[in-house]
This record gives sequence, C-alpha cells and structure tokens, in this order.
Amino acid sequence: MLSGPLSLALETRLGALELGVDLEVQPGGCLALAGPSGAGKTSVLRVAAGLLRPERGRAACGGTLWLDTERGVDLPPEARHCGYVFQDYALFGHLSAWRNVAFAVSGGRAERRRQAHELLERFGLGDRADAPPRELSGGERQRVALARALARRPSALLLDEPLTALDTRTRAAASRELKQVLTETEVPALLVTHDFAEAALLGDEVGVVDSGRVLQRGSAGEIAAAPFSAFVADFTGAAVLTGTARRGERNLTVVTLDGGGEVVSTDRGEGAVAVSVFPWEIELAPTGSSADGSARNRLAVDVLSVTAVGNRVRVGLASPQPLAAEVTEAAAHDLELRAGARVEATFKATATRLVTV
Amino acid sequence: MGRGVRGAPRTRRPGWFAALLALALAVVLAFLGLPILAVFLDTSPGALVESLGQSEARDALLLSLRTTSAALVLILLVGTPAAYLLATRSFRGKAVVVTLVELPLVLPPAVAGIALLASVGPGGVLGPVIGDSLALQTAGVVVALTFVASPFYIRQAQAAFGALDRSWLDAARTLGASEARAFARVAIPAALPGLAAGTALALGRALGEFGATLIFAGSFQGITQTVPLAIYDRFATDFDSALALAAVLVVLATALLLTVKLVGRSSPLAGA
Repeated sequence: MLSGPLSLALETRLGALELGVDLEVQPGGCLALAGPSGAGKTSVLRVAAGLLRPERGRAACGGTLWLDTERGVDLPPEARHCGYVFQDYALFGHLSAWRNVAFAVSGGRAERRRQAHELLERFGLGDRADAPPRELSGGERQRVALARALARRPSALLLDEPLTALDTRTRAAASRELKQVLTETEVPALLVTHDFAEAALLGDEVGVVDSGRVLQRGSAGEIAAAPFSAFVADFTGAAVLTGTARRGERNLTVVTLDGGGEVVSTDRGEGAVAVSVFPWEIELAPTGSSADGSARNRLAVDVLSVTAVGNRVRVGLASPQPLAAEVTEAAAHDLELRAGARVEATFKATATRLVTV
Repeated sequence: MGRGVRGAPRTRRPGWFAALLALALAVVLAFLGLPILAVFLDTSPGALVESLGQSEARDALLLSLRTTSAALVLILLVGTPAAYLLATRSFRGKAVVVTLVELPLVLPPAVAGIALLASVGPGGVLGPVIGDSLALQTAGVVVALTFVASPFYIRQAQAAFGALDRSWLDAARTLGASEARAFARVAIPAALPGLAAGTALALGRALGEFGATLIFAGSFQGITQTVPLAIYDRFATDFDSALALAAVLVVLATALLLTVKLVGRSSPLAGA
C-alpha cells in the first residue's frame, strides 16, 4: 500500500453553497467530517475521488498529485486509487458479493476470484460470497462494500455515512468492526457523517462542517468541551436550554429557563441566553434522593426516550425543555429508566456554557 | 381493491363494477385474440406448410430475417451508446435532440418512406454521394427498417439507463474502471431487462415494417420484398399463402415476446 498523507484544498460553488475546505489526513489517521445534511460533506469526498471537479482545488495523496486546477492536473477517478464506500454502499445489483469485490481486483480470472474470496473471508462473509446484494443484510452489505473498497489496495479511504444505512441494532456491531478496519488500515481515511457521536467514535480527529466550511477541528473531546459557536455546541449533542440570565450570588449567573426551572452557571451572561450542557455531564438520580454533592443544578425531569448508542445509553429528557443525558447501560438498568419515568437531573455550574442569543 | 371492510358490516352490493371490468377484458381478449387464432384456424396446417415451400415465400422470409437482423445490429451498436449519452449527460438542446429521436415514432410510415427518398434516394439531398445504392436495394430495406424501428429501442434504452443508480457508475470508476468499462461492465448488464424490452419493440416494429419499405425500396422478390410486402402482394390472389406467411410472423412475434419476458424476469445475476 502506498502510504502518504492525503491533502485536499478546494473552493467551489455548488448551487447556493460556497464550499471551501483545506485539510490533511496522515497515513493511518481518520478525519471524520461531521455536519448537517446539505453542509457539503459528500461533495468534499467526491472532489477527493475525482467524481466532482471543483472550480479551484488541489489534491494529493502519497506523493501523487491528483488534482491541481492551476496546473491543469485532474486525474480521473480510476487513476486515483481511492477506496470509496458510498452511502448506500452502491453494490452492483447484478453481481454476486464476490464478483462485486473482484470488480476492483486486477489480474487473471482465477486470481481475481481468489483475492475476492479471501477478502470476504476476512470480513466473515466467506459463506455469503455467492449471494446477490439484495439477499444480504444491511450489515453484510456494508462489509462487502468495505471489502470492495479495500480490494484495490487504495492509497486513501473515503467513507460516506458508512453507518447511516443500517438499523440501530446492526449499527453498534458494524461501528465496532468499522473502527477496527480504520485502526488497522495504514492509509489516510476521510469519513463524513451527520452524527457527531459517530464521528467521535470513528475519527481520530473530528471536523465540524456547516455551510461548506469546517467550523472547528480537533479531537471530539476538545470540540465538545470548548465549542467555538452555538452551532457547534448544538451539533455536538449538547442540550441547549434557553432562558434569561441575571447576576447571582458569588459571581455566578442564574438563568431562569423558559418554561420553568433555574440553572446556575459559572459563565457570565445577561438577558436572553442559551445554556448548553453535554449529555455526559448530566447525572441522573431517583427523585427525592437528597445527595448533597457539588452539583449546583438540580432539575426534576421526565424521561422521554431511552436509546442505546454503542455501549452507552442516551436518555431523552424534558425539563420541560428538551435535555439529554448519557449514562452507562448498567446505570440505566439500575435507575429503571423508561419513557414516562420521573428522575432528577443534576449537573455542575461549571459544566454549562452560556451563549448570548 | 375496493373490497375493504369499512364501518358497520353490511351485505355486499352486487359487484356490477367488477362485472364491468371482467366484461371489458373479455371484449379485449376476443377482439385481439380471435384474429390471431383465425390465422391458424382458417386453413389446414398442411396447406400452410406447403405454401411455405414456394420460392416466393422462402425468399420473403429469408429477406425479412436478414434485413431485420442487419437493422437490429445497427440499432444496437449505435443506439445503445447514444441512449447512454442521452440518459447520463445533460447538454444544451437535449430536449430538441430527444424530440428528434422520437419523431419517427409518430411519423406515418409513408411519410418516412418519402423522407428517405428525399434524403438518401437517388434524387435526394445526399443523392450525389449515395446515388442509387440504397433505393430499391436490399440495403435500402435495412435503412428503412432502421429508420422506423430505432426510436423504439433508443427510447426504452434511455429510460433503462436513466433508471440506473448513478452511484453504481461512480463506484465502478473509483474501483478502477474507465468510463468505457463502467458502461460495458456495469451500465449494460444492469440495464439489460430494459434493453431487452427495447430490442423486442424494435424487432417487432422492423419485422412488421411495410409502408416506408414499399415506398423507399419497392417490392421486388428476393431483393426488397419482405414478409409483410409479400403478404400484401398475394392476399388478393393466393390467400392461403398470404395466410401461411402471416402465421409465420405470428409465431416469430410470439417467440420474441416470450424471449423478452424471460430475459426481463431472469435473475439479474445472469448477466454476470
């Protein structure tokens, strides 16, 4: 495998969207671009793969120049050696699983067959090699797509929403497998997703994208802990509560929440504000438990939903404003969390961020 | 359909509407089926076979098969890439091009024949170049068949290519296939049922072509007299042999239709 960084810079207009990114991914690294749909994420991948030509741009990988609009260089997709995993996997419906993989392999008939079967075997699909895509489950399709993308020994891996087409039950297992593949691969990987949690799980580094720009780039933890803007805070999964702030005692800010309740924050603010707090900062306890911790904020909330996300459980709450907490499966079990239950949400004043709106 | 049990149970009304539908279908079946059946019933099988032994009938059959095959090869070779272009690219004036391609569909065959004479006939626009190499020649039959039949194929092929998942073509490219290979290895096999349906339509139209051929190429036995022309030539004088030729066309057309239905229904893996 050719190992070398993937660098991509582009400026282009796509309808109403001004797309402009400049990024580099190291060999073995995975940059996950996360943003809402329409942010231009897929277009970034398409430019990298050579499926979309930007007005201005430069792309190179492993010492090979792929695109340079100034010098008139624009390698066609087949010459770029990208492994591209499409959003719906784009498996050829008229070819069996192994023939889908063999499509990417060069060489004689027997050699292509052998390599394709070997790859499928590695992805645990040895016995599904002859099945057509329509007879494969979502998880199996994703693995065939991955095997096919890797079959050409690509110099970069591009993944478009690799988990979106899967149902929630398959997703946890598939994301673990994908993480494993991304960890093992020695080439740079660029992944796009609309889900920050997915980006945090799969990427070594996360870039939050909106309206064609990378707003913030860093580790998922850094971005979540210090979001540059309310958009990034909201996107990373922080609950955003609106209310009115006033100065409180001991240099703290007290926010009276719209719809009831009060929150104390160490951030300064006055007037109409948005308070953001991350799900993992929120502790849940049975109502009436008088644990006297350091947490200044204590809200009585109703449980709206309980969703498993990987090894965590995301709990949708109403305070009455929507709020989310993340707890372990064991905690969810002990607290008997289910829709309709009433619990107490506590979080420290230092865990809140105030943004004036 | 319309049989859902809604609200309080009540006795079902007499199904006059269902009866009407059934009656309509019965009328259609009788109207379409009877003439076709009659082709085989009106004369004895022995007479059919005997009249096919005549040299005129054999010549007409052979000529029809040859010219139709030649026209079909031309249509497939040129029409398939042209339809692919129309389905996958957008360009200025595309709507005009598409309309132009579809025009022969609605053109009366006699007009098509006259148009061919005016363009590639001896006295036509391209006459100085082409001379009389087409008009009244077997090659002219092929040209006439191609002219009237190709839009049937191209339209269907364009629709079939247009319905392809574009990400398949993109995927083929990222997997190392050139544009030509993506076309040959992904687009064509994946669109095969649609292409087969278009082929059948064009084949049927070419096999039955009459007016344009008659005007442009004439009706000379062994040279330009295809089966439909031969039927017309003798239906007044030798009805039995006209009937025999008609029966052959019915059998051919039926075989064609069945083949297409089978290709369309066969596993998409068959093309692999």
